[in-house]
Amino acid sequence: MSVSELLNGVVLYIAVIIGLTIVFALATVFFVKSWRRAIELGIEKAKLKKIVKSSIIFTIIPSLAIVIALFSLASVLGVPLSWFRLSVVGSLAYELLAAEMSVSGAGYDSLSQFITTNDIANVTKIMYVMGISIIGGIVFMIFFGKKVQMGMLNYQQTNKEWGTLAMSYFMLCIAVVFLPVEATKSTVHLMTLLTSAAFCYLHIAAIKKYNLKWLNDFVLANCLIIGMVSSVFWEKLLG
Amino acid sequence: MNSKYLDSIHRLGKIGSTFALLAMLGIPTVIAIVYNIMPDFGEIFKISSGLLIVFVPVAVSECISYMPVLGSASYITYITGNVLNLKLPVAINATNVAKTKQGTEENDVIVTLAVAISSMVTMAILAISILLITPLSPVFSLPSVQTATDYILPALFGGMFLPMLLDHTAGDYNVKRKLLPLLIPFVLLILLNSFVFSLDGYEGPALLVTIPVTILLARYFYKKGIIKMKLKEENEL
Repeated sequence: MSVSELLNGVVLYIAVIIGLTIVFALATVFFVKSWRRAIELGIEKAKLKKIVKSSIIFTIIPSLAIVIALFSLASVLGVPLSWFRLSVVGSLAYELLAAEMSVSGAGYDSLSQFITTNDIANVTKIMYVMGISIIGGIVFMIFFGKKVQMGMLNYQQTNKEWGTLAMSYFMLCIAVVFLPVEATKSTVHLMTLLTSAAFCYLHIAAIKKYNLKWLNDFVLANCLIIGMVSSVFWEKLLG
Repeated sequence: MNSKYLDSIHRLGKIGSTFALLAMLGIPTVIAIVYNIMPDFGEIFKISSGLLIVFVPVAVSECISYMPVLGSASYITYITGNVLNLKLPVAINATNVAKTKQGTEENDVIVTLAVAISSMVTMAILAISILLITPLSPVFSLPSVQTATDYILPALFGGMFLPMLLDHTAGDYNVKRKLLPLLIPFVLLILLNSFVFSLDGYEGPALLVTIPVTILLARYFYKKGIIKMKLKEENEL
């Protein structure tokens, strides 16, 4: 049996489908629990439906990007494992890197070299390493999630005015760190970012001027699509 | 916030996270047992240690930095992954659409709702794609589609960060000169990233330094009366 046959085998498919079913059920429980609590808090059903609709619309495009990552990853890690990794804990950005690092740690030159061998004994080794390396966030949440959230909330409540201001900087700091990194990667990155931001500004202006409140639900999804489409144009022009 | 709800959502989150961990490590275990290829765990930890040095600080910094945005939705966010490219923007989008305030139970519930439905949708799309992998492969292999995918993050960040930078409020307050404390870290990060070393892949640790520095600067400007806060008028709330 080759590595590729094992990675696309029935046993792995069954194990992955069971794992994904549990995770999907878990997401459903989170959804039902938060929906019920929202109703208890007096949030109108119409508002909740609007949030659900907006979240679904927004999710589609990034999910298609994840599908593309799935197809690339599947060619080296097989379909079931790539499917599992991109649905649970993993991410579009880290998976290929984690796979490359795991394989090179196990003594191979590249993923493609590993996949063409018959060293099936090393498959589980690579799978364990890839699993262990990315669980930091989940382990942190199990042990410290509640403490960190409660600490932040208590700080905000006991320092009303200043606490509210301090908490508002967390989101802004994310922007301050990520914007220079993305904008300086290449001219195409910069232009794509600026195009998306410009369209966002146009959306905001149109909403204000023409009172198009319904457009609020689509701003981020529209900017994402326009930004991605513009990147093809910028790539041809500047790439 | 209602402590009963928070207790139960954290309990659910811890149980769910433990399940995800078991699934993550259970799958290779099943394969190892079925094919009789149990690896040497000493070697696994030796190889993992190199990766853990890279991934753990990033994961921990992200958990702390994103907590005010994600709240108790952090559990389902980290269980289903794709945090920066999907779940964080979904959370921010939900907060904007619902017009809820960070640190309130309403916001926590709304964000959890949005991230949960987003996770379900992504899982469904991936499952459908697996079924249609043969007919879909040529479409997703088109050069223009590949190019557009490579630029998903800048396309996302433009639309996601601009409204944040234009927003001069914090909860129930209007804030004057809110962006002032961000100026020094922003310039330093541009210089560091452009001339010293690329921060690409080190955003997590960079956040862990940027957040306290920004908050300290904000505290200084707030105490000196340079940053001014005023409760919003009734019609602004």
